[in-house]
Amino acid sequence: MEPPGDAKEDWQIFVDLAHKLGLQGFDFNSPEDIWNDVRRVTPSMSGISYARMEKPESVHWPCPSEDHPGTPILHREKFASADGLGHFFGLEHRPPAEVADTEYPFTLMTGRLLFHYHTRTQTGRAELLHHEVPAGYVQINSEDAARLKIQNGEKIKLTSRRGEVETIAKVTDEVAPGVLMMTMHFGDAAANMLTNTALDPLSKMPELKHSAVKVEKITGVQ
Amino acid sequence: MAAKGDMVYAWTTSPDIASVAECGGAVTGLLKYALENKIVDAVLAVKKGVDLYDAVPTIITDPAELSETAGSLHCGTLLLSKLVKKYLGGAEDMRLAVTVKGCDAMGLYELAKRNQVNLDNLLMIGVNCGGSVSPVTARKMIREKFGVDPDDVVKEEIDKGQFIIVTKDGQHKGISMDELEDEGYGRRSNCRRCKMKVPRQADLACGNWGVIGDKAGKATFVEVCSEKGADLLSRAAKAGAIATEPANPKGIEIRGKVENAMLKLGDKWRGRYFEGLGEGKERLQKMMEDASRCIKCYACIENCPICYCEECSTKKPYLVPPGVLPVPFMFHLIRFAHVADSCVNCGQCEENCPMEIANSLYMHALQTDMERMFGHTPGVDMELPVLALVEEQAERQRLSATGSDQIFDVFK
Ligand SMILES: Cc1cc2nc3c(=O)[nH]c(=O)nc-3n(C[C@H](O)[C@H](O)[C@H](O)COP(=O)(O)OP(=O)(O)OC[C@H]3O[C@@H](n4cnc5c(N)ncnc54)[C@H](O)[C@@H]3O)c2cc1C
Ligand code: SF4
Ligand code: SF4
Ligand code: SF4
Repeated sequence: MEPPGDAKEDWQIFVDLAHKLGLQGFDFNSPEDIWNDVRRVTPSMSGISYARMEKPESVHWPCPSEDHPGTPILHREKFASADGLGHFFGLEHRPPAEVADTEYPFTLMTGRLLFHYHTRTQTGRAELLHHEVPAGYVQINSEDAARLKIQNGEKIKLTSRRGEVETIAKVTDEVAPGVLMMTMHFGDAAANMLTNTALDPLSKMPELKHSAVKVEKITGVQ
Repeated sequence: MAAKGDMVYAWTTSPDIASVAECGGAVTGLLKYALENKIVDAVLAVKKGVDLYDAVPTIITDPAELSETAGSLHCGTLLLSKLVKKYLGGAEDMRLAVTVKGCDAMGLYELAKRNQVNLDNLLMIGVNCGGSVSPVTARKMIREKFGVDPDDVVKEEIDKGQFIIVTKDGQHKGISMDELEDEGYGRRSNCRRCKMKVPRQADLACGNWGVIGDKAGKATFVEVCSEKGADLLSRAAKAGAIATEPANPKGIEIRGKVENAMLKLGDKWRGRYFEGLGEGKERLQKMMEDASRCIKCYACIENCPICYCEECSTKKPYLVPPGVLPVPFMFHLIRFAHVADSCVNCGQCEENCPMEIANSLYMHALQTDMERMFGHTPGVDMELPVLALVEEQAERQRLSATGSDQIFDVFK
C-alpha cells in the first residue's frame, strides 16, 4: 500500500533512523531486503522466499531451506522432544492470583472481537469495522443485570483493586452469571485499567483473563 | 465488407503478435488496430503476472504494449465487468475496448441496465469460453494428477475435452476434463454450470472452435455479432491489420456441434449441483448452515456485478444488527432478494469468499428457478428484470377483498 501524503513507509523510517544513529547493518533498499535478512538469521524461515510466497498456495513455516516443502501441519510425524513422542503430564490446579470475593463479586474475563485487532490503530480507521462495533462494552448475564436493575445499553461502573472503568452494559446469556466479559480493543472502555498484573511463573504472561471486579449503577445517569 | 451474422477465419498480419497469440491473434490484432486508429482510447485486457496462474487485468493505451496481453489464461478467474465501473468511471468519458468471456459480457450488460457502465462507449471483443480453473486447484491438479511441477508448465489449454499442459522441455500431456472433474479438480463450479459459451452479446465472438483444414491453429474463428463489430472487422481487414477468409462450412458445422455439446454438459452439471441442494426447506437448511460461517467481509458484495447500491441494505442496523455473530442470515437473504433475478453466475462471490461458502451455487440455483417462473434471462440483452409496479391502495384493497397473502400479484 502506498503511504498517504508525504509519509514514508514504516521500514524507510526505521532505516533512516538507524542511519542517523550511525548503526551498522541497516542498508536495506526494499521490504524484500529486510525479509531476506530475517531469513538469514531465522533458520525456520530461511526457505520462505518472496518468489515462493507469490505462488497461490504460498508456503508454511517452518521451512528451513529453499527446497523444503514447508510445514502446513506441525508435529505430524513427531514432536520436538528427545524421543519424538508427545508426553502427557499432570498439573496441580493453582487458582488464579485473584478470585471473586464478597467485595469484588464478579469474575472479569477479557478477550478479542472478530471485528477489531488489538488497540484498533488499524481496524479503528476502517469504516466498515467501525460500523460493526464502534465502542467498547461489557457483557453481563441477564440474571445479574436483573438483580442489579441494569438495562441493556446502560452505562455502568466497574471497579477492581487497581482501577475503575465506565462502560456500556450488554445484557446477554453468552456469559454465565457472576462472569463479565470485556474486550481489550477500546481506549474508552480500557479493560486493562481493571486487570491483574500477576505473572505466570513460567511464561511470564500477565493474568489478564481473570480478575475480580464489582459492578455499580451510575446514579443520576440513564 | 463484413456484416452482422458473418462467420470468418481471421488472423493477424503481424508476426510478432502471431508468435504470442492463442490462435490466429485476431483478437490482439483487432485491439491494436482499434487503439492505433483512435477508435478507442484504451484497451482493458488480461496479461500474465508472476506466472501463468496469475492473470492480471491491465489497461493499455500504448499499442506497442498490446502483445503482452495476447494468449488465453485459463486460470484467469477474474471478472472484468465491475472493473469498468469501479476504476474506469463506467466508461462514461472514454471509449474502451474490452476482451470479454461470457460472464464478463453478461456482467457488463447488467451494469449497463443499472446505469453503471455506458455500453455505447464499449467495444466488446468476445472470446468463446469453455471454462476457467482456480489457480490453487490448477497447481494442485498439475502436481497430483499430471505428476508435474506446476512451475515447469509453460502453457496450459483446454481443448477437445482435455486439460492440456506443455512443460518447459516441450512435453505435452492431456487428461480428460470429465475424469479430472469427477475427482474434484478441473473448472470452477460456476464454469461447469455455465451456458454462455459463445458471447454473442459482444460485438465479435472469437474462438478456436471450428477452425479446420490448413488454418487449424493459425486462425481465429470470428462471428460478427453487431454493426460495430462488422465495422471494426472490415476496417481492420481493409487496412491490412488482419487477414480474413470465409469460414469453412464444415468448420461452422463442427463449431455448432461443439457448442451444443458444451451446453448439454452445462445442463448436466446444473442438474447435478441443483439436485444436490435438494428442494424447499432442505435447500434452505443447507444454505443457512453453509452461510453461518460468514465473517461479513463483504467480498461477495464488492465483487458482484449486480451489486452497485451506494447505500447497501446489509449495512442498515434494523435489518442486519452490526457486530452480531454468527452473522444474521438476513445478510444473505438481502443478497438473494436483490440479486437472484439478475445473477449471471460469474462465480466471483464464491471465488473471493474467504470462508469458501458456495455463494454462487445458491444464487445461480435461485436465478434459474426465477428464470423458469418469469421468463427473464439476465446478461443477454438490455431487457430489464421483472419488476412489479403496484398501486398501493388498489393492492391493499385486493388483498383484503381476496384474503390473499400474495403481496405482488405477479402470477396473473
Ligand atoms: C478462459 C478461456 C477459455 C476459453 N475457452 C475456449 C473454448 O473452449 N473454445 C473456444 O473456441 N475458444 C475458447 N477461448 C478463446 C480462445 O482461447 C482465444 O482467446 C480466441 O480464439 C482468440 O484467439 P486469438 O489468437 O485471436 O487471441 P489473442 O490475440 O491471443 O488474444 C487473447 C485475448 O484474450 C484475453 N484473455 C486472456 N485470458 C483471459 C481471461 N481469463 N479473461 C478475459 N480475457 C482473457 C487477452 O487479454 C487477449 O485480449 C477461451 C479463452 C479463455 C480466456
Ligand atoms: S462463467 Fe462461463 S464464461 Fe465465465 S469463465 Fe466460467 S465458463 Fe467462462
Ligand atoms: S451473485 Fe455471485 S455469481 Fe451471481 S452475479 Fe453476483 S457475484 Fe456473480
Ligand atoms: S464473501 Fe463469504 S465471508 Fe465474506 S461476506 Fe460474503 S459470504 Fe460472508
